[in-house]
Amino acid sequence: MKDWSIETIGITKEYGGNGKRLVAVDHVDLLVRSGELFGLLGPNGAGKTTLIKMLCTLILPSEGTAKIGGYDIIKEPSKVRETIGWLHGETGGRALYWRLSARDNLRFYAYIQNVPAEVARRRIKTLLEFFELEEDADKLVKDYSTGMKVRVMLARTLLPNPPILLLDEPTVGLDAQTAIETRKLIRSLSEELRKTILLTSHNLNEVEKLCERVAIINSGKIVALGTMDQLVHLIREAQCIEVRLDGTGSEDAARTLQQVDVVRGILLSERVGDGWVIRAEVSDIDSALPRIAAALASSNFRVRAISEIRPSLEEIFVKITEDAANEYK
Amino acid sequence: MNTNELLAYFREEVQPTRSETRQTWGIFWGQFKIFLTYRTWVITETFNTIVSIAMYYFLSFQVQPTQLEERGYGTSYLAFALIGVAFANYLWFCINRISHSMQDEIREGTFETIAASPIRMRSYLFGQAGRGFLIGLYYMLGALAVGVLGFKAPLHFEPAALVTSSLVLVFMVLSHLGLGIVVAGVVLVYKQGDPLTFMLSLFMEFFAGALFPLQLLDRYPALAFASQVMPYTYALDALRKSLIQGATALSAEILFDLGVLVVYAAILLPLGLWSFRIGYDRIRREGTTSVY
Repeated sequence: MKDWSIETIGITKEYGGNGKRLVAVDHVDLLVRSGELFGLLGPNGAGKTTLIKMLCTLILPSEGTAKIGGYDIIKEPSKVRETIGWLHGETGGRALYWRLSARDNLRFYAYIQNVPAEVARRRIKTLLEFFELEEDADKLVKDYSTGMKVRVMLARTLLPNPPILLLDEPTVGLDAQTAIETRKLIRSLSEELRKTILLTSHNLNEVEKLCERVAIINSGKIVALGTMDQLVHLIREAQCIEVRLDGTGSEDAARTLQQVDVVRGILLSERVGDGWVIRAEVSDIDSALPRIAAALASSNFRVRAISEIRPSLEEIFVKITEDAANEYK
Repeated sequence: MNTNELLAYFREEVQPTRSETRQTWGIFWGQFKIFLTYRTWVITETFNTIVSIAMYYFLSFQVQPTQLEERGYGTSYLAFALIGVAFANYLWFCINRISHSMQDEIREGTFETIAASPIRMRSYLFGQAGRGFLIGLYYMLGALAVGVLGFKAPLHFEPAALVTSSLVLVFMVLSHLGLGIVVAGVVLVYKQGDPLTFMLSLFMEFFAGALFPLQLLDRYPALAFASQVMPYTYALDALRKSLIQGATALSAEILFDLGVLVVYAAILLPLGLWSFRIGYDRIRREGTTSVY
């Protein structure tokens, strides 16, 4: 295995003809280290799925290429397919054979994934047990709930034990407990078995907790890439404060804050219990705290606390994708 | 079971099997199991078979046997039409099954899972075809049984005739498999294949003389020529001669028919796989592996 498990080199996908041209993925260069848990984020239609399908060899790039485990996706697609496990969680179990049981779906997959019969038998039993499907293992998948179907898909992805996992929305449709267990499993697969994992999720909290590095894709281009700390520093405006206030009249406090010249924008303003929480971007954290405190005090707001906070991935994501969208305009 | 227990199962080094036969068997096995869940379909198709054979039974009272005798097919129109229709339906079913299953797989999203796995596409196609051939066999044998037992169609079932017709059946299937794969490639690209398979089945039944003796085409040279280039013409000729007249695989006329089918298989099978590859690469370029 090379140092880079996933390496995209100017990979581009352009659709259309007859004057209609859509660049779904635009000269993307990505490097994902062996054993790394890497997050890929982007709004709907940003190019995430096209990029992942190109890595799976389901879509041919118009330009550029990618290497998966050292194998070129255009020249060595069979080797790439042996190296990856792909989960398309967003289908909600559509990609399973609904008229086969969970056990038979896994058996079927073992055949086409070249898993030896005896190994397959043991792994299927273990996976059914882990994903709590053993009781319903012989029922047809069409009678399963969405969460159960996603669990079968997860089991199927792990069955051949590939070194590289492309997990597209792995926890969508799962109940809270199974989602937690699945996240734990994903982390263990990366940390203990050194599997390389490319993860996409609408749950930004999940990506933030799991991934070492994150790339944000928008309109087919990578608009930000780095560790969480690096992403925070990428946006100067990402210096944030959180103000907690007493009382019900505090909704006006957001307007008061907007009058303070160091406040660049309000990220959040909502009631929490019997108080109010406001989050704001500020241009200079050192001078912002005393000036905001003074402005609120002069307007007779009862301040419980003011603190500097690290923006969440969600806030960074919104900020970066908005900035990128404004740039394209 | 906790995460650590699960991980223990994935620490072992396992050598993948990479056997195309096993992959083909896997597709066949899975698809056959899926088929068995459609019980209503099995019942209605069985009913349709019985009704269609009954139709040819009553039609047989209106047909003169002299033209059948001229071709060496005995004197019973029912036996003549029974073989023509039973085997034409079988072939149509087999060809249609590959593209039909592919359409289902694309619609249900399982095709992408297959395409992103290390399975060779030809293993996938042969597995799909194998299922079609087995299920089709059930209907074909059912039709022959209804015709012989229910309507007394005079057919030979001596061991030599059965061996010969089985051999012809295998080469008939091999010579037409390529066509089925071509249609599957068309379905991949255009997402529709029913009109094409319907047209193919009509052509096959008409030009191979499933329901009438081919002398009727002699006064139309273009149509007579078309019947000569249909592989099914040779399969049907051999099947009728063995099952109606009791001819064996060692007879010159059956050997000739078998030889023609082998040539067709050698040409059409690689051509089918090649055209499927072109279609498959096209949908990968267009990004439409999940579009239906």
